[in-house]
Amino acid sequence: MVFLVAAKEIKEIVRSGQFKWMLGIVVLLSMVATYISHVHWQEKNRQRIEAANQARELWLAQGSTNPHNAAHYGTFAFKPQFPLALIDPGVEKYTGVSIFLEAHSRNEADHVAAADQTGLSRFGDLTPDFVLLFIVPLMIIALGHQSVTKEKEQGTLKIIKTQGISNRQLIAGKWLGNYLPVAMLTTCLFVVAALFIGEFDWKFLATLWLVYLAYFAIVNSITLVVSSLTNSSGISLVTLLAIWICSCLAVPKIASSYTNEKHPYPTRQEFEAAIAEDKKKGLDGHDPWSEASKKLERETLEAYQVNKLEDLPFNFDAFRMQKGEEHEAEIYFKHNERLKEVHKEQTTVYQKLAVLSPFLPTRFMSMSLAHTDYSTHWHFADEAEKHRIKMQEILNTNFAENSRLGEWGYKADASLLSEIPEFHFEALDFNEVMSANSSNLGILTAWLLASFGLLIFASTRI
Amino acid sequence: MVNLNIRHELKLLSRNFWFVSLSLVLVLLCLYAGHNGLKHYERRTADQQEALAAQQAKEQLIKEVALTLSKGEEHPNAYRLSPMNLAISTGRLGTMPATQMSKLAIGQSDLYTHQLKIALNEDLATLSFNELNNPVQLLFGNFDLAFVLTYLVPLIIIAFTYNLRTRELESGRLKLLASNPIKINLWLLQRFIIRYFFLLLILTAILLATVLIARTGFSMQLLVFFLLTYAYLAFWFAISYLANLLGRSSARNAVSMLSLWILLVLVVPTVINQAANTVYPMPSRVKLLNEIRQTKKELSKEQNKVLDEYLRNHPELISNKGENAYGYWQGYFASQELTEKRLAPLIERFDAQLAKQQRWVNAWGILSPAVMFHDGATRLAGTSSAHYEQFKDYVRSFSLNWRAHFMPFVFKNEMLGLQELDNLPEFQFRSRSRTAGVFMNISVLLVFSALTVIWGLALEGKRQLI
Amino acid sequence: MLHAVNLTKKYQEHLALDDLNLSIEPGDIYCLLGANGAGKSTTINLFLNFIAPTSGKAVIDKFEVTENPQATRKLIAYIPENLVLYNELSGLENLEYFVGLAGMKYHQEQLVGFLKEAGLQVEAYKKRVKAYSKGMRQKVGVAMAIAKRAKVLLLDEPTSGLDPKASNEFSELLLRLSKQNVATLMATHDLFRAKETGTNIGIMKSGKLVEQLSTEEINHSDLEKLYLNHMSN
Repeated sequence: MVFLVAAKEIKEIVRSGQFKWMLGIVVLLSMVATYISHVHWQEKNRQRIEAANQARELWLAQGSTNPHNAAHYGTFAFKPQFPLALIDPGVEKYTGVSIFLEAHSRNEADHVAAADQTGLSRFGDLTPDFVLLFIVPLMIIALGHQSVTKEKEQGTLKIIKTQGISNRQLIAGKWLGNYLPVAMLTTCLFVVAALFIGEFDWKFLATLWLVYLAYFAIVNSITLVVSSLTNSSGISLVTLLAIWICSCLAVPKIASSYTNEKHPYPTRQEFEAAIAEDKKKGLDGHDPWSEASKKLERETLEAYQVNKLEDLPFNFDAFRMQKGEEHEAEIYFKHNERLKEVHKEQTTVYQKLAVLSPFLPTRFMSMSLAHTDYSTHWHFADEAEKHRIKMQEILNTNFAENSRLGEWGYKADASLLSEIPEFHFEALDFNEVMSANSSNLGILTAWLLASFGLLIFASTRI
Repeated sequence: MVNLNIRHELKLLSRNFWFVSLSLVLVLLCLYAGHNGLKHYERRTADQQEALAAQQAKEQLIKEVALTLSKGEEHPNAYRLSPMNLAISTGRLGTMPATQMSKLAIGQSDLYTHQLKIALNEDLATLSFNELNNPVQLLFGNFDLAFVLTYLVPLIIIAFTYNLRTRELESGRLKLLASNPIKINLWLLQRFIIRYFFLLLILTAILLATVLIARTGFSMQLLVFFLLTYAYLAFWFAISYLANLLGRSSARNAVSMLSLWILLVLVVPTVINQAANTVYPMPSRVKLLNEIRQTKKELSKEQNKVLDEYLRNHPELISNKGENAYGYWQGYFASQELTEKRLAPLIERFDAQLAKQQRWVNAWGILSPAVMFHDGATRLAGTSSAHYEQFKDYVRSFSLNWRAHFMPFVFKNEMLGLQELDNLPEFQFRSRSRTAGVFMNISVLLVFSALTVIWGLALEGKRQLI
Repeated sequence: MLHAVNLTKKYQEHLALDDLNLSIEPGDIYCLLGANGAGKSTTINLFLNFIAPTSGKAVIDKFEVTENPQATRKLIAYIPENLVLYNELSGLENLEYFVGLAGMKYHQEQLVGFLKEAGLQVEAYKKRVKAYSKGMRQKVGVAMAIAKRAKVLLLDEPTSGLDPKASNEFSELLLRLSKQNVATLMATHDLFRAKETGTNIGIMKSGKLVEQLSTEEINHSDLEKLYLNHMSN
């Protein structure tokens, strides 16, 4: 019986001119979006690989050089592009893609794409996630808002009811009938995107697909709830659109404004000034006269039980440089941890607000699975910093072990440079991503269940 | 007929539950948006005040040192008057003060920094203007007044006008109305205009309340902002008027108006943006990084030649202390200037491309009233991309001034004295928000509205009444 | 006062009205009878200039309607089968609005007078129309016609769905108006009312006027026979 109803709904939908138009528009938009994203993705990928290779070349081309000079010369860590960024570029536009790794300072990722675009970029981009998050729900609403109201208006509802079908069966059939075309469309879109991407981890793509299917199921249920509870198609449409605007546009913006008011980030200038202040207080690897340097000198002499720095089995200048580096790394770590605290507080607020709109958990999960969320960016920045610290350690150790105090002219063999490994960034694996998103997943599930619950309730009211 | 229609609409609207309640919702939305704008402004201003205070404290300290030295006494921090220390450690703070109007449209102000330390050794090519922030916030955008007006108000207009004619048509009342000696399209236009003015009055009252709460002073910009809002409203009323005349049923009108909203507010702006990026792609920034390094490396190999060439270009900097008078820093600045000169064409590529994108966006933005409105609003608020470009340019040219000012001291190895401290270049940037450009946006919106209305009126007698 | 001259209306292949000729003089109540789709409403819509004739002309008081729609509409009052008013306004307010659109201005007392003349009960004047019955709304329609000082009354099945008492009241109103030299064209299904109220009767079939007669020439049962006879052919 349920499938009979579903089949009739699908027939009606497929035969309506409205559906053909909408289908055409959605397919066109998603094709254009996928194609353009693909072109951009490839171009960016090419640029990054090229730049990473070039950076490595430049690094190695230094040849025989003083290790600390090499440390100052530095190199770059590039964030790789992940395959699913093609479907959801997430916050990529607003985070930098490369970090300069040098002695003494931890740099922020730079080259934010949004800063290289006009103000119009803030309206959003035509990417597959835009179609999935905004346009497809609208299509569901447009197709389903009159699913029940039309039967009420035409009076066919009374006839259907007298045929002995229960309300629940009727609604279930309508739900399926409205959902299947959208689910098929989504599946097609994912298959096409998968063909474009080529190389990817199917677990991520399949989960992404399921997340969107769940999101559309929620929207579909809400659509039918409203259609069941209202008496005219017009009111149903207006109510649903109001819900759409609130969930997809207003709530995210309110969440963003509210979160920023509650847990503001320091300004860049403040952040940098605070680090500079802390650095000044501690050990500066280049400054042998500071109090901290003197203290280190005393302690080292004591530890090796020698009287003069010259008698140490290594170059104390380089050793001090390394200690200074470690100290500074701690300062950077401390300040970045503080920033991360704010980030976590903000994330908690966002997750709490996700109760207000199914858009939010979907948005966050989608970015997360595509490795284009803010957490991945933090992960990248942390990994780059680890790499930097390791790089400094190798260079300073070489300097300390192979030269004597005051021997600033020391040049290490060119092979030292290739001892520094290439930066390689691995994003979190599937299980880690899912556990980081347990809250979002929970809220999305809760939304799904609640919307079904509402639907069952609504089916008693038609 | 006008007086009659005004009284009629007033009665209908005041007895319409939805209109009254949605007006109340609009009040709340605007006030909340105003509150957000105010908070954003307050934080921006407080941050800037704090940064300025810290900078002033630094400068005060230097003055004290200079004062002590001028009296012929010694000071342990005398080194802070060396040109290098002063120009790098003390530096100057470049600030972009928030305008009062920025409370109404946050625009690009969450993306860029508004205070920036300018130091002598800063690389202009890689100078970053980005603010530290959570990118999720940038992705979602802000709930400010510009958002409410750009996105939500058109929907309210659609909700109250989409069936003004079709409802009469569907109920059969249109026949009764048309049996009177009136021009029915003109009669409908009057109803639209009256509703327009009602909403305009209500919105003006709400906006004034918001402006008062956000403590935005009254200014020419505010007046133009109001005009821009009125023109934007007029566009949506005009489109709805035409849809009413062309549409046969309320349901179809609702769907077509909403599709139009989605198209003009959501899709067209993203398509224009995407097209701008595709037609005028930005060169690779990451590639630039390597190019900069390569250039620097090449120059460092020929350090001596670099300094010679530099001094040939700046004979005024030559000191007569002999050949070995120049140390690390002199060489550094010499190669910095040369690096910049060599990189200039590369950097200009970015600026040129962005300028082309901006021109593209300005030209095609006409297709979307939302773009016209948003662009005008941020321009009035001093938070548009153009303002930040101005700021960047000012910072860059100030940096060059700052460097030029210190070069003689660096090359002659002179310390600065009390008098020299007073003659340092001052950083004074004020965003200019010219209203002239916004009038262009207003006229575009009004011309579109007028053409639409004329089209509608020309349909008099051509649309079926039954 | 009201003349149709070779009036024809064609929708693609379908002939909705075929070469209609009729004239109605002041004081006449001309009743058009016929099945659904016979062309009665088309005739009225043509006189209202809601639709344009394919050929022929509709003339009201020397003005051809397509050429002078505004002038003719000043003379007309129109009452459709279901008179829909603004629900959120009272009967009085509705009257004021519609009469205002006709370009007439009256004091409150005068408007109340028209409603009284149309037979609306006093308690209803200031009540919102959504609480009105169909008969009450039709009375507001008649009040509009009175207030407009219409010379021509075009009625499209005004009594269908009214109870016999309301229907009777409506007929009496029509008779009173016709005594003030108003020319009335009424499309109706009600043979009995047509005979009682009308001065002339026209029977239409498939867009053609197949019979014209004066109500004085015929009695009730003959009229019914004649009508059914036409319909069955």
